[in-house]
Amino acid sequence: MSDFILEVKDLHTYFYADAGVVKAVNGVNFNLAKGQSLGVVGESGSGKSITALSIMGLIQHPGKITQGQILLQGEDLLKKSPKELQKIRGNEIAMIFQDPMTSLNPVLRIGEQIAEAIAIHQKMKRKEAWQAALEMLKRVGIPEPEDRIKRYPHELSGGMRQRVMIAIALSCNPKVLIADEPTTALDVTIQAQILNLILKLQQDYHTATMLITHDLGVVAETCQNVMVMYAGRPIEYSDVKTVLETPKHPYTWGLLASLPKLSDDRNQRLTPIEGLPPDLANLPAGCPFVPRCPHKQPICHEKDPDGQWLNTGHFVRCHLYS
Amino acid sequence: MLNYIIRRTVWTIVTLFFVVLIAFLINFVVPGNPARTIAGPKASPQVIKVIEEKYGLDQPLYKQFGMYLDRLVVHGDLGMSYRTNEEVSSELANRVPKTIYLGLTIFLLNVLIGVPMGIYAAIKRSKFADHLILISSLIGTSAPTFWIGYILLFIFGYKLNLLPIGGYGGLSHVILPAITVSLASSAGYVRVVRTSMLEVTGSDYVRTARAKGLPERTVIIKHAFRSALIPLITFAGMDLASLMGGLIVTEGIFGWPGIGSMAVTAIGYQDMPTIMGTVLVGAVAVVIANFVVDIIYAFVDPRISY
Repeated sequence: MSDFILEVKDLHTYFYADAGVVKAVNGVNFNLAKGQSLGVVGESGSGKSITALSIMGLIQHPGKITQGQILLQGEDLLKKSPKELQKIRGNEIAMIFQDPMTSLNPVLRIGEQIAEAIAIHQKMKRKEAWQAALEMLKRVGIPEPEDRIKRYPHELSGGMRQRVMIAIALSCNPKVLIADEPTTALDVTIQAQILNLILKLQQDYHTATMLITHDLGVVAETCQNVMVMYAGRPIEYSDVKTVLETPKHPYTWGLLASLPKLSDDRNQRLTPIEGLPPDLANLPAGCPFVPRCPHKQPICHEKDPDGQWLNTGHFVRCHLYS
Repeated sequence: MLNYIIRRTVWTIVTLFFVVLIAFLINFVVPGNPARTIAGPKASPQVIKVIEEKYGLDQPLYKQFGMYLDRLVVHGDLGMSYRTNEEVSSELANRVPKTIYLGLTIFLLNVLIGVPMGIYAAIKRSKFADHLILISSLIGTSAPTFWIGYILLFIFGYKLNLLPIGGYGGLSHVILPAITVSLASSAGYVRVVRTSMLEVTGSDYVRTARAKGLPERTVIIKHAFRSALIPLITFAGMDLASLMGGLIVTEGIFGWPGIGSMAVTAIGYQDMPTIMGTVLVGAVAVVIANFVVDIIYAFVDPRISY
């Protein structure tokens, strides 16, 4: 009996494409406790979104979860039938997607899109569900909710639409909330509002939250723990303070170094991480970060590091610490 | 919403006006002197002159158009057939309902066959069922109607003696021509529905619907299909419009007394008034069908601004 709401163990999700087997998620492990928030950081293609979709059970052909366990309060979701999963999705685990413009159905009213989830999961009649939807609109801070609830998505701004997405996600009081880059498609001032909203609701509802982002700043402000992903696996994992103040993995060093600082000279060049992310269909024998790593050793070309836990609760996958 | 309907109505009337104008002008592009055709090849110049005066054929163009409009809109007079010397409008009045009857039956069959098959093919994408449906719709579109029609007539009408061999009538008469045409034209529906369903089911909002934990059936029908309706409505509108214009080959094979066969006979006799009558009916059908489709759009897609 653990007190983790969500435990992901050794998750592997592969895509069987014509070009080869793309190992999008290649051994992910993490835990989420009640009320805790985990930031998942990485470049495009690092496996963050696919991990989220795997947890939700939304991986479709030609993708397949080939290995691992996803335990929701001790029960393995990968062993459940589609019908059982359908009852859990939106109800106990909910997800917010990146682009609110395209994530809402253009021909259905806002109220309907919130109410239908409530009606199905909480077995309410239409009228009650719409009442509950109205409550949710108020809770996510949409002005004039009685009017907005009858509107269509194209009549709302980007920030409003994302609030509606949040309302949909939290309408059934889920235990776990996965937010996949919820603010990337919004402009900066709205970003702050939406993040604050997610934080506040998370504290009110004690929802365990997995916040996927490529923005370290967002993680610093909103999350307790952070997991840095590369080539489909976590390469560093600990609480935010530890990772941002005493990072151990060369990739994390590179990420932090590439951030522009206010104290920098205006004409100073930025320091990117050279190179590109690896081809997930053709992973090299050794560590996948080798081509871009300024600290590589001979062993890095031959053997893929297994990763270890340093002192308390700081995980690194790098031969520098083997 | 009302604003939109009014604007659409006005534009439809304007379009109809131009349709009539063009139909009128075509009369003068076609070779041959109508007065001479009416009078017959042996008529003397005096007779021709009398006929010209009677029909106002010596008047300036705009006056003739005025007379034409007056006859058409106020009296519903489309002239007299050169061949039968009877009113074109009465012959049309006889045949148009029969064309509508056949056209609607075909349309209904198309929708009932094509739409579910299209949805099913999209759901079973790349599996055997999908390939089977695509191949049979390809065969349907490729096989000529006259071939299918005669084969069906032969089997069901002659050999098995189950259905009458052509002619107008109730269910037993309409079923063979309807199936003949529907086999080909439902294929278009299958493709349109399948394509737009595939596009929609890959979209973000369908992913959201699944993420909400909605049952798959709700996801497909309420979310996916509802959005996929719009291209379907366009296609169905065009199909209905062309059906109302008459089916020349099918009417010929089954002896169905519709506008199609009327047009063919008239062309053979160079019977201008009748030809123009059928052309007008066809054009008006298309314009009205477009109008109806536009109105339906406004109800189905809330993004259309009124």
